[in-house]
Amino acid sequence: MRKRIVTLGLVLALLLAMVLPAVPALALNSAEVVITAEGECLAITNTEASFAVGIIAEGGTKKWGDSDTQSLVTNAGNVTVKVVVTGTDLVGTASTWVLADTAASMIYAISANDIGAGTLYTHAILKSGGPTLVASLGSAATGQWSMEFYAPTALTELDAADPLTGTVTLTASTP
Amino acid sequence: MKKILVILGILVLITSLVGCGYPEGISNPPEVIDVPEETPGEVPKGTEQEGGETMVLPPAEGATQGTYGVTEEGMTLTFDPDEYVDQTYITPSVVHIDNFYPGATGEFPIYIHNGDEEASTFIVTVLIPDNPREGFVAVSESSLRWIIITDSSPVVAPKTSTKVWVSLQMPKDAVSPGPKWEFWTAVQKTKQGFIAVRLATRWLVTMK
Repeated sequence: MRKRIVTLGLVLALLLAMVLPAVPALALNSAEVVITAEGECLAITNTEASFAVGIIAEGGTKKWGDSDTQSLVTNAGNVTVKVVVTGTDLVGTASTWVLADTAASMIYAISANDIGAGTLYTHAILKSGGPTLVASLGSAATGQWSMEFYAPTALTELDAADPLTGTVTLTASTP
Repeated sequence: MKKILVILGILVLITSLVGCGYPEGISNPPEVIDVPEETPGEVPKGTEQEGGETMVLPPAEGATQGTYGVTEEGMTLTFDPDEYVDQTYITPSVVHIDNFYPGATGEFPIYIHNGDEEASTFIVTVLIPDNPREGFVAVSESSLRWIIITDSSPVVAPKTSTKVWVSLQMPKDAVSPGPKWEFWTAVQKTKQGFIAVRLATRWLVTMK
């Protein structure tokens, strides 16, 4: 009897060993934690990828292209989105222009239109916190916008051969 | 005794045939802090590629009105993936983590779809939201270390999707930023011009 129990025990252990690797790997959520998700398609596109300022004088300004509606942002997904625009410092190998809401010495500024209000270049683009380019852009809807660049009022470091680069980012989320 | 052992053996056999995993989506497996077996890059399914898992989201076949398939995690799609195959998009747009508590772990993936004609590298980051949802506070700077992205720079083949797991692991002795708090994950292509586009998922955490 004891031998049979041992044999059956071994068979069971073998079966368990075969079964356990077949258990699918799933999210390791702790007990009672409930996770649900909204399976919407979040997508935007923007027609323009660059804004080449070129050579600009101290305190100079430059609009993006020839139009006040230079670029077109489109909601390419199936859910209404809010689009916020942020920027970065302009960095070269020899100098950095810091982004702020108003141009100053070694500080540059850049402003954007408000798509909803149709106002021109009224919103200073900051490193965080916006501004909001459009608060509510429905699925398949589009909005035209543009930017204006304000060069530092004074340059303490200057190397004409040192191009400065940075990024303006459009962040789309659900409102 | 012999009968009991035979019954047990039959039960084990049935279990092996039927499968004994936890329910998909909302699952309650034992509390283990580890990387799941199917983490992208470790056990890729479909066409293997650098840094992630290539897949195509569930097709519209058999879809009911307003829904277009269900992902492996139990997320119901509100769009037809075939219709958006040429768009670069992410899903989900919002993730709710409810009944969370210190010491708990919660995981859910984001799907990144590359609508371009060539492979693209994406960057996945965690953001402190500037404008959290009403009733929620933004995640604190010190809490960002609780959020782990399994593959923060996936390479996605053209016209396919990659699944990137996001894991929220709150230490037992940690203090929540609030009863309801929010963080974002943001996805963007690495190769973009001066004007870049970033797509953000809201993660809304409600404490127990």
